[in-house]
Amino acid sequence: MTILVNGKAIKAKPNQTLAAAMLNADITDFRPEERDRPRLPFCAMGVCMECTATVNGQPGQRTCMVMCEDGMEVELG
Amino acid sequence: MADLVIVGAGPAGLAAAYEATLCGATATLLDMQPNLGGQIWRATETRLIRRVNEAIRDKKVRLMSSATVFDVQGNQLLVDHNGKAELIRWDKLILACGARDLSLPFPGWTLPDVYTIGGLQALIKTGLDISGKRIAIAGSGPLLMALAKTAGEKGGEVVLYAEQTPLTKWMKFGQKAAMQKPEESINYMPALTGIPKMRWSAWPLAITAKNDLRLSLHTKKGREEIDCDIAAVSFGLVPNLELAQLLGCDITPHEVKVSEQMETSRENVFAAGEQTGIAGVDCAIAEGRIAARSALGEDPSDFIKKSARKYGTLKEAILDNFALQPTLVEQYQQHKAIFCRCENVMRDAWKDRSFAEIKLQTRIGMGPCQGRFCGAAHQALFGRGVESPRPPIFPVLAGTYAEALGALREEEIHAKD
Repeated sequence: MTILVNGKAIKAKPNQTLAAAMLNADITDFRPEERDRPRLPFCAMGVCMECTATVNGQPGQRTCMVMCEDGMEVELG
Repeated sequence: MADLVIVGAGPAGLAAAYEATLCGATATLLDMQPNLGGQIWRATETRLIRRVNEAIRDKKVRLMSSATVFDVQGNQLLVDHNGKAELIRWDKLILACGARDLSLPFPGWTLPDVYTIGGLQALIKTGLDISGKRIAIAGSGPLLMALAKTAGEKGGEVVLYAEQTPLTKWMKFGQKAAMQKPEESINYMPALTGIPKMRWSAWPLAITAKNDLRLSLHTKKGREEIDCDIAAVSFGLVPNLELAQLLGCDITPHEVKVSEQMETSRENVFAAGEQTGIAGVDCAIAEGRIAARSALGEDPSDFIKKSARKYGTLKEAILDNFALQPTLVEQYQQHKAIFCRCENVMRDAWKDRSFAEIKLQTRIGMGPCQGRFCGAAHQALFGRGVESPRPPIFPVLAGTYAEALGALREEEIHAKD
């Protein structure tokens, strides 16, 4: 399946979380709005809040807990 | 309203839900993950999961996935369910919120490709491709072995296994675990053979990044450098106590305090699993069953006796055998490193100040993780952690919070009519 991240298509498989799919696609900063350092998934269980992104228009989604769906749209920054 | 409301669908919560159905009762089961199983049974099918899925189909258990409890008012949970606010009223509540990694700050722990042990485990299980990647595993606890096994099975090359506890203590724990679950213990052996560097009384001093990662390791024989692509570091587990604290239950840094019947200090609120002290999956299941029976007024005494016999000393054994070495604590108290990930605050000379004081002056603990990481680290290194949490206990959109409060208010108004 295909996921759009800032308009760019990345590949994803069923039973993958967005976080895993985005890491596989070499996305190096999930929260570019924080300009201190690259922000990436860390705890992968919804408690560190590092991996948040806007998903299908909903802000603040923990991508480590969002399952990939075909056509999902992610906005970073 | 269901007879039981259970927060957390890991082994303890699942066991409580299933036990409820065996007692002819109904349960509402909430979890903030999209799927059942908690951490240890992530992307795994077990007999208990199958049974609970059947109970869900038969409408004896109502499952709310992607459901985060962010506040409690009276006996109602305020829940963010996929972005929508829901109020869940409870009569008997079971907390089975599990645990998270204890992450101690050191230079480089915030670099890309550095994860917690549980974090890398979860990512691998939910599709992170690690084939051909060199993985360094460090920190403390039995979960390092689980990660080594998963990483190996999924094509990763584990280049380092560094446990901070001494070998003698590690083996003592291994023997105890092997006696309890011989088949499972044997399964871990292949994962550990083939790792070129296995070290005990060893821990990370720093991680630096060039083209890949370089992990500098403190060992008894001096400093060692290990090159890798991914590093996973955690020093054990801390229970997720925020909801219990919000409910006013008595806690210590290691657990919610419960009676033999798994009841907390607050009436009608029970707790089970890692919440009540880290002891692993089998104990969690036993506690879930006891909590459900106690909550429903069914006699739990046989279950209590059996559980005490099998797991009575396990929590202490884990705390004792994986206790942080004093040399490690001293070193980590002085690291020049980012302490609060959320707010990017460097550690300073904090030794004698309370967490609250430091928070006011530096912003540590004020970020989105709400002190889950820096607070736990501060507790482990300096003996003082986050005091009382304030709602919301997870970040939530203001609109969702307003929706929930609005719904509460409407109920109040209707109740008066």
